[in-house]
Amino acid sequence: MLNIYVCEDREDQRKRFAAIIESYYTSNYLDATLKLSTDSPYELIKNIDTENPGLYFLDIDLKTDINGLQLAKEIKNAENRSVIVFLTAHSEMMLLTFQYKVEALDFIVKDNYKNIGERIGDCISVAYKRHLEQKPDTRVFRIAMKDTVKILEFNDIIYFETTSLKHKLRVHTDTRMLEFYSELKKVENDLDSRFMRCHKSYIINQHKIKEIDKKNSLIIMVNGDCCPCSRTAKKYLIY
Amino acid sequence: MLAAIVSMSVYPLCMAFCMKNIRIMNIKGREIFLYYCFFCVTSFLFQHAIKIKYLLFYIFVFVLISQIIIHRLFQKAIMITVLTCIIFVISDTLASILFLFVFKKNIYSTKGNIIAVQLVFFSALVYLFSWVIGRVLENLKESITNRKVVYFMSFHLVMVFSIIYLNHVTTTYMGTKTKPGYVVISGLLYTVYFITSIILFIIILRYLTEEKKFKTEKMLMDANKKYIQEMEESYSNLRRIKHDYNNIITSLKIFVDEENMEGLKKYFYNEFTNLNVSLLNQDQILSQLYNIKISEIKSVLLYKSYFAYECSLQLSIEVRDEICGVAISTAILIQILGILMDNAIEAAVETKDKELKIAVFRNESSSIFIIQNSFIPTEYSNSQFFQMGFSTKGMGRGIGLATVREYMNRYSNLYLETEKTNSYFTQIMTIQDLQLRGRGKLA
Repeated sequence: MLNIYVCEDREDQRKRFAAIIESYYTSNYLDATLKLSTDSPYELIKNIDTENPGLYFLDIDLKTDINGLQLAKEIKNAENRSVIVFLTAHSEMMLLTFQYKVEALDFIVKDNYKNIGERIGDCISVAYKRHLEQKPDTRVFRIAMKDTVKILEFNDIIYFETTSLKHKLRVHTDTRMLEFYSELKKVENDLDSRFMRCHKSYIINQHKIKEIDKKNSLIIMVNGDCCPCSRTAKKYLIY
Repeated sequence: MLAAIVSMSVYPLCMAFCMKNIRIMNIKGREIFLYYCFFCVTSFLFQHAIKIKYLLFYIFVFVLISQIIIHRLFQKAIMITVLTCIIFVISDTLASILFLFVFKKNIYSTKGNIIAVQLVFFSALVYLFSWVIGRVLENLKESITNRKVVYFMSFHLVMVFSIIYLNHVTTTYMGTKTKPGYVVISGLLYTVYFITSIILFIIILRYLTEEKKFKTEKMLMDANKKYIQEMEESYSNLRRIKHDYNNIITSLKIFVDEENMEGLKKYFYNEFTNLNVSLLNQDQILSQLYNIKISEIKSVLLYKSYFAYECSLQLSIEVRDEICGVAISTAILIQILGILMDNAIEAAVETKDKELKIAVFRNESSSIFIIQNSFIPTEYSNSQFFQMGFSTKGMGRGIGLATVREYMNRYSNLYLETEKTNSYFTQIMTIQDLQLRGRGKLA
């Protein structure tokens, strides 16, 4: 069951969104429910389900002492995998900035009447898909930067590699590639058995191997990148 | 016989870890096995091969040739061979001296246990020296194959062999090895060799560090040059805008003066629609860029945004916080931003949505630059974009992102995140402040 929450201070808008959301999941036979529709961010915070990630539609300008961005941060703190969609009246807000800061799924501009239903529908279907994919063992790798924490699911990680700078590592996932400050040894300890140190400067996800080039001792990953392979690792992989 | 067997197994082993420790080349286990076999054979065929001076000759000839054949890297092969020789000679000399002082026994005894103890000394020294040299050379890896350095090394090699030859001559002249005079002369010769080796090594090291400094300076200069170019272009663009404005105002003034309402109307509707849209959107960009207090960065963003408008892209710029300083040379930051913006514009132009979004803001101890563009999904992985010479547009391009990668590999407080979804390509650059981090180092 996917729980959907709406926080919007204007009553007419709130009702409109609630109607769109309800009609979407009933007409598509999704296992979802509109759990709460409120104008008070505090009521919403009280009702956050910390066990199951939900889908939150938040107005940015809430006319109370906390705004949508702070509310989103509260939600993310309580349940990290929650999906957040912002509703905003003005398109010239700092959309990209906000999106980055709370990893929001989308921004829906309220005065854009034409495709609002479609956008909301898209958001619900994405959140629903993620909800279905969520297995209880979904483990994550945390990258603590100085100001932010980035979270990568083990399932998405393809490989880690060292760079020519000491302690600077680079991780490749299905869609992202990012650099961070750590050591391979420390990283290795935070991972589970599907990961393998295939070379002194590489850790790979064994589920993401496409093929092994025996002759050149290379492991070709699902995204086409090549990782060198030490002799012991090769023996282990080929048996 | 025992001595021969012990030496036979120890020398190739020493050589293997010595070459591995130096870390200039990627020595594989297969090669080490090859050397091992070779030494076994030579030791059996020529008993004298177990003595260091002859061994050196074999190392030189055999290792050098095999390395050149296997790796086809001539200069690296010379370097690694010469370094191995130097380490062996120094270690052997020191081991003999140490042995002489510690045990007060003549080193030229043929008793197995004495030779074994000496070999332990020897291998420990080889390990130590090769480790130190490997560490020292780690930062200078790129310039190690410099031609001048190779000359130096070759000269050194000639010196090694002449000293060995001299030693050989004195030995034959003096007769047996056990005479104390021989120990003195050979000790002296090797001391001279030892000292000159150290001096030579210091000279080379100094030369390499200077070379590296020079390269860094050159890189900065290139970045500066690029920056000046960008500035000039942006300036000429601004002048054009000013010129446009002036023209419009002047012609409007003429119509007003003549009270020619018809002409004014016609001019207004005809000309204003042809006028570059960018003029009208300059306001939004400028008001956002106001928060960036570093004029160089402001101008590069302004110039590239103007360029984006000319390519009729949907541009949005967000600068939420004041950016007063970044912990990296502005010339380099400008080059990076220029490359990222150029790539984003180039990719966005080809899409239907033609979107380009830029966000700049600050976290507590870092500045973040985000550049997002709409793009047509490709098969290529994120890291392929950063490879030298890679480009979706064919050969001879794709230097840009490789340059960015080079900077990322040079500065420890720069972090780049690249995200590729079906419709967007996003580059997120984090510049961490140095004071707060306390350990960031430049170059």
